[in-house]
Amino acid sequence: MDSVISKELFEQQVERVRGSDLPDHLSWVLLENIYPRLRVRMSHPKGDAREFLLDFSRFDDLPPWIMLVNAEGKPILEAGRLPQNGPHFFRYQSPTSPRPSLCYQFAAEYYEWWHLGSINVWHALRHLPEYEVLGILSQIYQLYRKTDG
Amino acid sequence: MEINKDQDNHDSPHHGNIVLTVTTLSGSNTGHFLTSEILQEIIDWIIQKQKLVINGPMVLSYNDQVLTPTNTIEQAGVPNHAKLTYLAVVGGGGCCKC
Repeated sequence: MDSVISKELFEQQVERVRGSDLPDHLSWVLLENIYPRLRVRMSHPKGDAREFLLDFSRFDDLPPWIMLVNAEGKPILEAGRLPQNGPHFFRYQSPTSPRPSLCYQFAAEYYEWWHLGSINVWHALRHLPEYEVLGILSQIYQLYRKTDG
Repeated sequence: MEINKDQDNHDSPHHGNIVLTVTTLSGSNTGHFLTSEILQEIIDWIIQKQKLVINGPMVLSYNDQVLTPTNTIEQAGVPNHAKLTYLAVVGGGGCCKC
């Protein structure tokens, strides 16, 4: 994917996020939205909040890389500081994984780490609203709210 | 066509005694409902209103609680001016490795 086209696609889809009522309804705050990075703070129903950093540098040949980050924007690496009880929510793929990741089809890590050779799945999904930027944020939020925060 | 006529009625303040807003990935719409109507009526209305193409399981939620479509608005405790969401259930995740 040409980076100019990727940037244009990112900006179009981020504009849809900004135009949607979902961030307000679900208490998301866009902290950073300059290509290729989108950093979002999501509030948990229990009152906690977490920040997610999405890297769209290969969008939409590949979905975004998704990281759970601390207030300084650095990936949270310690297993004990990760939300618990979420289904496949930020887990280490192997002891040598550089960081925890999501094993879901809207995350680059799914295709690059967890399921090599399955990128055709993404190519079949990426045109659906659930796999555009707003839909991906919605899916992250739905998973996050199932955790302990 | 009778169904469409009924669903169009939700645009009229004369139709119901409660005003609800539903937000999806496609946008937000506000409609008028009777508290005696079941939540499935809201789902049918928003699908028709936004011409949604449903690709898989969806859930109607209020305040982070998933609502049961067969309940009435009153039974579900959805208040006037509530903001609901109608979103796809997350799928396609997980495997034997995680």
